[in-house]
Amino acid sequence: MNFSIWNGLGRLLLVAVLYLWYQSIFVLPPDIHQGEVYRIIYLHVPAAFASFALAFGLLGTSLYGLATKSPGSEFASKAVAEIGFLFTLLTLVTGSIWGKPTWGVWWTWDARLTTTFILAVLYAGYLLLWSSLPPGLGRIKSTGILGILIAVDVPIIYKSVTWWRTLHQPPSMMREGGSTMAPEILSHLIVSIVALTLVSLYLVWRRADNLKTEWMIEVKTLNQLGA
Amino acid sequence: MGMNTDPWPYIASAYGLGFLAIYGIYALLMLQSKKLKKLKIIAEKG
Repeated sequence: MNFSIWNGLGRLLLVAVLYLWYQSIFVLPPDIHQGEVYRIIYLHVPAAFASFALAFGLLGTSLYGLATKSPGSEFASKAVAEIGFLFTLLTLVTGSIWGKPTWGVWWTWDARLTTTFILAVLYAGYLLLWSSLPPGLGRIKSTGILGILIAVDVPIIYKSVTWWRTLHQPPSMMREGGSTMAPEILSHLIVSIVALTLVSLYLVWRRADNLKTEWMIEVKTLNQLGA
Repeated sequence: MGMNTDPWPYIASAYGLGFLAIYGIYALLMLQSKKLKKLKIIAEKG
């Protein structure tokens, strides 16, 4: 498939997410325990899932970069880290907004919150490292190692609610004995997770394409200047 | 579980920020792409 077809599919996904949000806010019934405020989970959980998926994406592009030393892997890694950082921040902020009316606090140093905060710091650190190094093998190696370390945080975030029983509730989707969620809520949540993760990949693709074009312009200009 | 709190300002804030983050970044990427297309043509002409 060519560029315009992928781009059209990406735009369609962006519209689909708006429709899913409309359903999340206005159509689905309130939760029996949490009331209306639970509607935030249809944004919070998919954003968290996308940020975790992108951490694994960064692991893939980092390993590819370390194996092939290809400059293309650098653009892909940077794009994944930028969008991953954005989705991690969105996870933290929407979680905090949900936490205030539910727990009574905007923030607490709970195990799940702290490990997710560490993910945001790691993404930010990755982007700082990428920007502070000149292009080339050194940058591919240094950022590649950090990219692998970032993915290690994801299973820790996932298991944090069972390893340390603090404020954040234990898993309610994937747990022994099946999910405790109502089928209507669970199916909508799964569709929202898939849609937002695909949107995050679309944004990564567009950003990586821009980074590649930027690099091509730079190379052409330098060649014309005879550098 | 905070039943006395009006939940709608929280829901509106969460989705409002989500909209700004996702669709804002998308708009910025599209603007950047347009700008880069123009720059690419200039660079190719020399």
